[in-house]
Amino acid sequence: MLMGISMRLLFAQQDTLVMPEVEVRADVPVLYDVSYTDVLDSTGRHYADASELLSMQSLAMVKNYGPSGISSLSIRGSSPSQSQVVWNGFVLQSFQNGQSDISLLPLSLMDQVRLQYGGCGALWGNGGIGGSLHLNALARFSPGIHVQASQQYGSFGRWYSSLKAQYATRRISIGLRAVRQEEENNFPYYNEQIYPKTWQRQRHAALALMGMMPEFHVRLSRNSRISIWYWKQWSDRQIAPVMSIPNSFAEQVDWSDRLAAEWILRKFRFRTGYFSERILFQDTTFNINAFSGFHAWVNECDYTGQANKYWQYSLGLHSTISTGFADNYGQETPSRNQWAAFWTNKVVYKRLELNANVRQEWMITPERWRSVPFMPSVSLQYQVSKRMDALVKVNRHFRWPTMNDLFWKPGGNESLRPEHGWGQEFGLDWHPCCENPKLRSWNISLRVYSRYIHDWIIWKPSNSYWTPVNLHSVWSRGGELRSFWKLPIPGKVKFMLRHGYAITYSTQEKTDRSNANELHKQLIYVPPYSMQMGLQCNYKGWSLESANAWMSWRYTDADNKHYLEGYFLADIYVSKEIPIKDFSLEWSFKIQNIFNKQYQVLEGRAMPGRSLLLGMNMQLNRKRKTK
Amino acid sequence: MLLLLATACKKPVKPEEKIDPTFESTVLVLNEGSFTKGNADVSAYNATTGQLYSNYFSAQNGRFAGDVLQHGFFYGDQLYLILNNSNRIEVCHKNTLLTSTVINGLTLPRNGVVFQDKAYVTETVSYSGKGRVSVLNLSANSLGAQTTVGIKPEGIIEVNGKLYVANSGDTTVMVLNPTTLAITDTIIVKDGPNSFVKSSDGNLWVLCSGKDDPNDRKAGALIKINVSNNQIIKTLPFTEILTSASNLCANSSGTTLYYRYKDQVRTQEEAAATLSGNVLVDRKFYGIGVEPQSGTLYASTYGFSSAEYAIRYTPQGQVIDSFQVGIGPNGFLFK
Repeated sequence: MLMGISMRLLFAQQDTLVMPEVEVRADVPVLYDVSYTDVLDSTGRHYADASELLSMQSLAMVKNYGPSGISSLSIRGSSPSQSQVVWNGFVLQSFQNGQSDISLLPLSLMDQVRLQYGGCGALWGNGGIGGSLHLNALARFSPGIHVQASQQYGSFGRWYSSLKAQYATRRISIGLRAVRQEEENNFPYYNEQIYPKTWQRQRHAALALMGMMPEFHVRLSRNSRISIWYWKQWSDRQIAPVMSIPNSFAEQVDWSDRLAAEWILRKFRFRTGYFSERILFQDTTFNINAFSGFHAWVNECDYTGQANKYWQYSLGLHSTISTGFADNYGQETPSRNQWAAFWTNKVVYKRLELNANVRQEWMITPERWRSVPFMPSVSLQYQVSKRMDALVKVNRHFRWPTMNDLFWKPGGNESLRPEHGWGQEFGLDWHPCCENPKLRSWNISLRVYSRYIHDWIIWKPSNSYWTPVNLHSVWSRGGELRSFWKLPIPGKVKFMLRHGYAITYSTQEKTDRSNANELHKQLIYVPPYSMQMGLQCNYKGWSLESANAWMSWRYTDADNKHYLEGYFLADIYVSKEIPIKDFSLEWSFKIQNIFNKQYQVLEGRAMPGRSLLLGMNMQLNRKRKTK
Repeated sequence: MLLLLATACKKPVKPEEKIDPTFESTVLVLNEGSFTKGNADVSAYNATTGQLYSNYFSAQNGRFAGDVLQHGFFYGDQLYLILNNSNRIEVCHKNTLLTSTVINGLTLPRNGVVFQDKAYVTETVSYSGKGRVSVLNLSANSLGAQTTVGIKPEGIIEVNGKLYVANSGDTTVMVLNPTTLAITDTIIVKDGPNSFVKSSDGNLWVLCSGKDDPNDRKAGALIKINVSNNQIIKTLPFTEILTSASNLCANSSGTTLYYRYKDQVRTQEEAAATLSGNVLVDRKFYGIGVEPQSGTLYASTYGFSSAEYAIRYTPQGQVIDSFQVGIGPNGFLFK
């Protein structure tokens, strides 16, 4: 049977922390979607946060404003507000600007990191046009005490500490995850934007972050479980100046409280979550002291049933009640009540797998009640041969305007329409060596897609302020080719190689007269070509890994007159694990950007050259004897 | 589909314009660029030959000028480019635009004026407090004395050996002694004074944008100041409360004033007793300038995502032609 996750990638298999008896209930998209999904390193030892990880190990574009700056995700030529971030099934996207800062997502708090390419509006609803990043902290019931503590020290004042501690019996599990990160980011870089061009050190780019996630799980019966997670996080960072500005006085503090609970009762699942995020942005130069945030209460229930041996389905209801606040909303505290009903189906018959999903959403505000078009998604997978699968997928997309789009003063435009459109995808998965996958495996995957989004929202200057308008239609199309080799060599050496290559073409196909020279031009910061490659070699506790990413040029203006040069980055990671009974100690050494490449992801934002990282990881797995 | 993907996106050609070494511009267009992207540039145009380099500064220097090119002025063979968010002034040759030095130490500089061998530059300094005027010693290209003025000083002009500073964050025009930098007089005008021109009789026009604070809305005005006694001679108030009045300029004789207002370019005959509100061009622009010799109006289109255009108009408002410039063009310098 074909799986939603087409191919496991290299580093996912390195996670030695994940203990046995991890209880996984697959997310709806995994069950009912055929989108290509990268399973990525979730240990937090190679990369501290999702921004660092995805920059090196995915084919998504990470719009990184520098080591202490905001990072947002762009998948398959979408905008950052069209790429979702989902934690334990809850969408983390800001209700205010539609984006999620993935540099504030510490990996060491998670057990699973997956990047899903391609939209899934019928399953996840609003947003997620380009794809979605899924972070999961799982319920674990491995009896005993399990502790993992990591400490890293690196160049430019980087300290990173993390802890995962858990006590579990067969019935209950309590745990605490915690992380602390500090960075000076005073790295040297070659400044080509000043006269005379010279080497200088980055200024005003320090970062401090602390997060913790206590969790509690209880098994009420064989088919019933209750889980509670509370993710609290604080970060304080200096906003570094662009290269042509001598200094910056901007700082941003982010607070987030995320409380999630899940109750699984036989075939029912009930989930509820409370999310509160606050941001304080201060810039003494521009006299900005802006405090903004939102509160949201999310509820969802679904029923998963099996009609017959071929047909599995889920029915569910979803509601999100959100309230935002910002100085620029004036006296208003906009609130929105979003409801959805969904029905997902999976039919497996012989060599054929059909996924058919539908979703209907309604948006209720104090002023009015709106529904969006019916959101269907259909995908068909066919096992062409023992070694080849083919798939096609058609789905509809939409995205509501954000609170800022609607209510920001001045400029907010309450007459904005949601973005909407259709996407198509075709794929082939070839796995020629499948006789004994435990020994070796070889997979090649090809995806080709096309997506047309209408009423694309952009902010345009108008009078003395900017205002959002439904201006563009954007056609995104492209292809992705991935391969994965796993080859054990006699002598207990394991060798693995993964590779991905993407072509992404995302162009404006409709605009207004004043932007006619932007028609049919590539969107800014969407790389037409990108590639990533990973190599791993394991031998007797030693591990040598290399991660490489190449990004082609990216246009910096909408008429494609200027662009940033492409760049190639390479990281090397060496580690040695020493097991002592139920205790293990691992030393690691990492060189990031080994060729000391001077590059910019976004125009004028300095990025660090070569940096070193020394790490130590201790792990204790003391199993509790059960009668 | 695969063929399309393979051929759809070609490696772009670097916009390295091959510069004709004999090229001399007659007009420079200041493209402020997108805020915090550091992509300010200068376009160079020869109105006689029609020769144009849209990205002249970056082509010559191999980099952009900086962040938010706000204003510029000539001194001898030098061009001084005021880069607001980069807090510096680039000093370059007025023909080649090759940078020879930079002057750092400014804080959000806005405008400048040359008087004798010094330049006087207004600086916002802080959006919550008073701004200042700094002196540049043009012979040494160094920063000299500074003095605190009103809130958000914007336009600055020299008339009869006195400096006039428009404090756009309040209602005042300050008069400074250029030697001592002492404030010798403060003239109360209307809210938001932003730009000056000299009148045909040697006095001074100042354009006030007005104030659109929800709790304190005030209409702007076009005001004439007698420079001998710093008294207001004439006030021509706007009827609508908007803050869009800006970019005051005049023909070479000073008899016709041009300014932007309500997404239009309007003119005002100096001798008129009331505000005429004559619409010369009904189009939204970001910057305007009047070429002194011919009286040709140059106006730049509004946008910060891609290259914009400069459109030339006759003094009667008829379109002559247009040419492509850079991002966010906000002003013109005529040689």
